[in-house]
Amino acid sequence: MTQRNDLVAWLLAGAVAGQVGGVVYGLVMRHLGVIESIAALVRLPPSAVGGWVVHMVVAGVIGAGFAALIRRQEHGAGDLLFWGLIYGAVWWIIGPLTLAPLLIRREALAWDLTSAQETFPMLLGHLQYGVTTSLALLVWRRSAFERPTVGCAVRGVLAGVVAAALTGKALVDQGLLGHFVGIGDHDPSGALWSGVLAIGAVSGLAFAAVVPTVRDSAGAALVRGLVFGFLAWILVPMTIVGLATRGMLPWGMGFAHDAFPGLLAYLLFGGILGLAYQWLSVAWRVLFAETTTDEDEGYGTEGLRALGRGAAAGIAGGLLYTVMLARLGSFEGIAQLMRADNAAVGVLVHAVVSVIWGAVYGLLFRRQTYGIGSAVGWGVAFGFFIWVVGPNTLFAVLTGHTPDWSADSTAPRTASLVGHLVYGAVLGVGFHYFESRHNPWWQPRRERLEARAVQRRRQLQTSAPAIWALVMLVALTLPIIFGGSDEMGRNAMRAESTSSEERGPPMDDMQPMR
Amino acid sequence: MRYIAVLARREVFFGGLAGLLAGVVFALAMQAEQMRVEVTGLAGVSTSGAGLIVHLVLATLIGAVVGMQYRHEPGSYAAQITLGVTFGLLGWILGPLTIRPLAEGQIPDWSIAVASAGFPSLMGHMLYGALTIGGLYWVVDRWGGGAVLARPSERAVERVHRIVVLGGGFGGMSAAQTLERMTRKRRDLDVTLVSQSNFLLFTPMLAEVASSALEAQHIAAPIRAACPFTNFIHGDVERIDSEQRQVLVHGRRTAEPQAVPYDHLVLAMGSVPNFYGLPGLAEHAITLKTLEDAVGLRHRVLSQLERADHETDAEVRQRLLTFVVAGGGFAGAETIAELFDLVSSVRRYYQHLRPGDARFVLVHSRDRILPELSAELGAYALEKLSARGIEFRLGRRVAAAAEGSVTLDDDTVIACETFVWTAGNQPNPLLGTMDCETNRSGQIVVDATLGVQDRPGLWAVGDGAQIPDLTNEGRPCPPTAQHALRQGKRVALNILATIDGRTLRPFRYRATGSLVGLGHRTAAAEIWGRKFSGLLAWFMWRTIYLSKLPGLERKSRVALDWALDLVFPRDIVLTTATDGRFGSEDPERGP
Repeated sequence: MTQRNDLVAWLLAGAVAGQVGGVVYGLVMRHLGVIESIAALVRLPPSAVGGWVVHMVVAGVIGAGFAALIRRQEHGAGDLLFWGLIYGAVWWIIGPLTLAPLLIRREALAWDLTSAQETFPMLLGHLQYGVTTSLALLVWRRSAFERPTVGCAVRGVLAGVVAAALTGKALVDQGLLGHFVGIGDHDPSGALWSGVLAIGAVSGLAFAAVVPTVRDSAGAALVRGLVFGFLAWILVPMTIVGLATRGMLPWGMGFAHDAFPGLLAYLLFGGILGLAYQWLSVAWRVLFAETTTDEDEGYGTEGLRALGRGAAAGIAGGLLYTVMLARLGSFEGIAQLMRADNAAVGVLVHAVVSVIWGAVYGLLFRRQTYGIGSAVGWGVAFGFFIWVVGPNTLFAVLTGHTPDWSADSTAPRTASLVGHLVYGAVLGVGFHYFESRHNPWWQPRRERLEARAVQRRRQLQTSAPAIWALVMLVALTLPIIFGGSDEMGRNAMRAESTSSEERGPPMDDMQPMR
Repeated sequence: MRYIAVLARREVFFGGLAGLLAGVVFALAMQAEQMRVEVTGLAGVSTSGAGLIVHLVLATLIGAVVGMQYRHEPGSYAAQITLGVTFGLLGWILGPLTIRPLAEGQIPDWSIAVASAGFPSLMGHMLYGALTIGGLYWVVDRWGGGAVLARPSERAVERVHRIVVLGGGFGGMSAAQTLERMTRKRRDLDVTLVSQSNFLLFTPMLAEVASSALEAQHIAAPIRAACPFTNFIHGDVERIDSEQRQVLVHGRRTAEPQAVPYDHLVLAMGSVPNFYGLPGLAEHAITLKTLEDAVGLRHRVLSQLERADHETDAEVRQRLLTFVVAGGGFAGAETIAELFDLVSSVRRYYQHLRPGDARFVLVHSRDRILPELSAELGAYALEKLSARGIEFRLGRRVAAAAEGSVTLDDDTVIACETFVWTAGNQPNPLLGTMDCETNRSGQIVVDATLGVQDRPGLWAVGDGAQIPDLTNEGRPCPPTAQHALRQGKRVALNILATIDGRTLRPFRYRATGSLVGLGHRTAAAEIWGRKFSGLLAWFMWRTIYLSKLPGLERKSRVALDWALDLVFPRDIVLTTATDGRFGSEDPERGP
């Protein structure tokens, strides 16, 4: 097949896959009652038929664009799925936030927060479009589909149940176990727990089907799991259960706002799932497979080295964040971890925590970064995960409180979120620097080094870049969409323009939320 | 030079261009957005006038920086655009959320209110990132031709400089490691290391291997692990052909010697024992230069104990239990002290041996031992060792050795089965075959930059070279490991300086001090002119040498050996049937 024919085949397949995604998304739009307005894109009067026709054509064109974009990427089930997700998310920005106001309402862009909040159902719809399209494309490319073995399925179910049990425990303490299933506040019961574990098992199975083989480090698996958890949140509580129990899609901002604890729960669930699946697979391989590992110097030397480098990078990452914490006066709060309320103790605790997370990063993401791009990507993703685990969960548990995952309580933690993302980025880059300084195996100097360069290339071929962008997008937009408002922003700007001295401590003007 | 090469990459220009265009789109979008709702504008600057210019300059600069780091991979457009989105989002945190408040004299607080206000800018940053990196990809892919624009370090090199290091001791290994650190940044160097052993031997701990306190392999660091990017040849140097600029290397158990061409040759072959032609020494003395020597000595001592335990002839028994060491320097003093420790710690396994049965003699040509240290510490060591019952024959030399006896220069005959020679070393005899200036003892004479005069490309370090010590009025540097280590590093840097046409720098190092272990938890040390002795010095000896041992793994193993040695007796297992006379077994090992 020539290159041109190949491109045409891809475009056609993408168009068909896009139509499949379009049908699903069209049903969603009809459900939301907006399908008629699509006709306005081509200046037709609103009508169901016109809307459907225009919608399907657009869906086909966008699907062809998806195929053209990911044609040169790898086409495993997981890779396609994650690329589909980011593609959908980007089209939410291009479509409802940019083109729709330009073409339908004949006005400028709609990049403000209010528009983002209003079009939140569209975001979920676009994500589902991306998923459906990528799955349809997978059917066409079924040769690339890696059939999971029974062992994979067993490990997936096991990892899913463990992750669901751990997440469920955190939710039960808050009295929010129902959010995992998507039925809101509900007293924990045997039936509810069975539901939680069943969702865990099914999600674990799906995860095993999507990424059956272990390809890279545990850290990458954790981040993949995190994104998978986000997808599971959209599909299970927000869609399937919503349709089943309410007969409608609970996608409005009001519903989504109330379902926010579920989002955090699913992110945590996904991270644990990915990690558990990876560790089970590695244990399986070590115990039962004949293959030898290509570890260079054994886990002892390499692990200790990674630990040390991670800790050093953790110090570097914690430095900038220290300035922020000092500004926010948060050190007294942090000191509560040691049952103290002294700022000096807080600084110390913060430093120790930075080092510990850095060391964990070193262990999980050893030999996973091949340049600044992947260093930032994995680092930021890790930073987001520890924001979910740390300030939102462990901090409360260790200070003797119950975690509070509601949107209104999480929103004031934006500073902490941004701090963790920055910490992660510096940590990732620092760790990469230390690793590259000592063992420069990605320089294509000898055959062995050539192989490493190929790995770098391969990482770009997988869905890793999509995952980094997705994590960053979820981390930055969702807490703002759920917790912020344009009015709040205008107040902040006005306060700024009048006098910077008169501004109170930033936490104060955040308390009356929504 | 390299930095200019990085700046001159075409990607920097392309990146700047892509950044500028993306910045224009960003500004237009923000202007459109501003007409509708109140937004914070472009990262804190207004969307018109001077603010716009600042914005566009920043956008171009950021694009250029991206171009500097950019690495083209054909077919990776989706990945690059997505990376752009990620970086754009990160840029939003850095720019409007952090740097902008800082520039305005406020401390950023990253609050939800500020984040809400900056939401349109968040969208804009994402767009900017995607357009910049996506555009850069497109331009490079379309007009750059990928391979042409490879990074400087990956470009084909015009000429490869071949550097050959002979000898895997402290000097050679340190030279190879320094060169290796350089070679990962540049591809015009090709480093080869030739060594008789495939490991770096940590010689200060040899005596402890002989005394069963440490496992033999634990004090040896594999060269291949320490220098993974250096070509390593395990073999003996047969001849150095300085006319053809090549070295003939005889690999272990291969028939034909292999020619290794070089542009720069570092001679770091160290020294071999020197018997000064004394009769019988070559056949009957045990030396302590290699790991085999140390293992052999341990075997010899333990076999003598096994034999002596059931020997009835008192004279033979005494001969078996007499241990003579010639040479009162560091090696000799440590050896006699460690042998004493070994015998006294394992004696109780041998029912018929009584305390005091074994006899230890140290023969030294001067009137005080440890001439490397001050007289005070030498006297301390002498007193300590004498108190344990070790005999000293000071001012005496060994004149001859025979089966079962050693004769001194005053015709005293000491009947002994174990005779260790540490009293003389000479540079590797191979150096004598080279056509260049050597001193009386056979060392190659080099200048302070470690190069051989009038012989460009020929360098020498370590025991086999006479190097002027600039910190000591130009007298020759002492043959110590700490000097060899620094010489190796300096020679590597000077070779690179020669290749790059920079000025060479002379070798200058003032020894920090020296330490000698005296067994039995005592040692003597002189560091920065301060004298230490006893338990403190012993502790310093162990910690300092442990820290100098190459590699974390070896450090852990030796630390573990030492810890176990504190609580368990030493090992008396004999793993070969011989009594340690390896010489008769292995035809390859000549004297």
